[in-house]
Amino acid sequence: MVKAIEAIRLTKYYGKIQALKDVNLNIKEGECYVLLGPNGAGKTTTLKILTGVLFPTEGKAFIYGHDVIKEKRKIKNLIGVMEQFPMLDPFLSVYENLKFFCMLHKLHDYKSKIYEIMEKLNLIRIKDKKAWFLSGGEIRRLQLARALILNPKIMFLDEPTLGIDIMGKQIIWDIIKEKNQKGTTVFINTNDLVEAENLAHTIGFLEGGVLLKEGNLFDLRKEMSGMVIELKVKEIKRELIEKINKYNNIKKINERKDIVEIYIEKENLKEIISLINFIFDKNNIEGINTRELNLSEIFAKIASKNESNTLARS
Amino acid sequence: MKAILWRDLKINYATLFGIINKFVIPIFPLIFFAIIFNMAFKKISFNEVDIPYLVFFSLGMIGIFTYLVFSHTFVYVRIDNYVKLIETILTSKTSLLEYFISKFLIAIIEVIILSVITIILFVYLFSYSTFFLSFKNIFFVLLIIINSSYFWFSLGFIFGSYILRDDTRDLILGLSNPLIIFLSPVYYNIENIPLFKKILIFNPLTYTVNSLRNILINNNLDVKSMLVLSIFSLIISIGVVFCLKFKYREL
Repeated sequence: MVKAIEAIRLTKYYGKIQALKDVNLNIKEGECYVLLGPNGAGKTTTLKILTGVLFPTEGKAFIYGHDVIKEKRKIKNLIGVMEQFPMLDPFLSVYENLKFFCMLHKLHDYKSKIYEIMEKLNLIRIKDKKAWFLSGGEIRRLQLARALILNPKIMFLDEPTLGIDIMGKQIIWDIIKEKNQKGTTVFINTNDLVEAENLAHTIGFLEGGVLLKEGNLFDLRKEMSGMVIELKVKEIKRELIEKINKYNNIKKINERKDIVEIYIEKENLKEIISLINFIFDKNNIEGINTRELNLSEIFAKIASKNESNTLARS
Repeated sequence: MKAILWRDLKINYATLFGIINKFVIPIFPLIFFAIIFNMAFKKISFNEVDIPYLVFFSLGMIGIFTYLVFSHTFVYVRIDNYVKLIETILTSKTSLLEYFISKFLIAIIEVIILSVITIILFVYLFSYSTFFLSFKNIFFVLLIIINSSYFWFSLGFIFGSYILRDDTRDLILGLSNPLIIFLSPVYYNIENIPLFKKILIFNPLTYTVNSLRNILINNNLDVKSMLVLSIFSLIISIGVVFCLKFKYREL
């Protein structure tokens, strides 16, 4: 399959601060890749390098085989970018912003395209509203409209649903999915775990400029091999929690009102259930449930694994 | 280029307020100042000829218009950086060089319009028809205006690209506006203040105003001033290339 995006040992320094360290990416055509990470992890820097806005201190990046530094003009024809911060002209209306964007990209016969995209993103009724007066959700939709109007081969979306209510998010997710199903490669930066679960074919975990892990959700869950036992109890008894916490195969215990979450490895499930039955008074347990790790738990696990490896090395 | 021109015209000239802001506000306070000073001084000596102060100052005003390109460009390029328009351009098919040329075209047209209004006002309304307005002179006046505006525009572009902080911008403009304008022969004759003469030679506005006055008042082509102005422009061009290449990685 054709490589849509390739990054080789991307490293970026802002002065003395290292924002990215040896990031390698290999994203195939038609894939939806989500780069997940906390604020300041280096997601936007990665996106800006891949779109030719920033230059890496070291390393190389390619879009369909074109070097993002040397062949900047060629990659402009292939990508559509939705930036994290609103890059709209506040003094132009919604329609005029789209018109200006089409003119910047030297598109011809853009009028029908603009109306089509405004219809799709429910922007028609506010087409004459100045960008200055748009709400957060309207701004994001207008930004997405700009990325979509070019009909690019790759869409780069930086926090596409930041600050939007769940209904608005759903509309944007549906549009991204539709574009992706039609063959557009999508690269998303986000720290929204639901968004990542909803859209990603592949998830990359970035923290402190380091790409800690990547893979699809199924494989990541399998590899992380973690499980959570959720106990609903009538009363949380401290001495029992401490007792169970001493057991080696328990990774972590979370208490939340009347819920106790016990993090374990999959292979220890039977053993821990018997232990719980042994330690806890059956009359105190109202319910027991097991579940797979969610994305945030997988991320935390990867991050702590990385931290302990770093400590071990030092 | 079409996109940038369309946007600038749409934002700045779509309303009456925009037009007033561009063409009335820069002229009005200067005219007011000129009339008051004319009442006080009446005549000023330039190249050993006594001429009305209004005539003398009118060409200084054109010099100020070319200088104002610096502060306008500084402010607008900084805003375009701030609202990430330049970042949008960097990912679009429009090059930053096109942005530079479009912005300069608009700036130069504004200066030419302001200069024409000024000359018309002084020649016809105030009846000072002492300017030598031959085709040859008009051509060289245009050349000087373009050259000088280019220098100030380029300087504004570089400053707007690198200085993004509000307080630094305010500090630079707060200092440069009075320094550049008052340490130039805009308001008075440089020959009358020998102490300032040494400082004034470093100010490009000195050469703009001197060459304009020599052409339109003395009918004399001031080749030396025009040459120095061109050297200033050449030096600033290196700065622009440096900025496009290293700040924006465009060239």
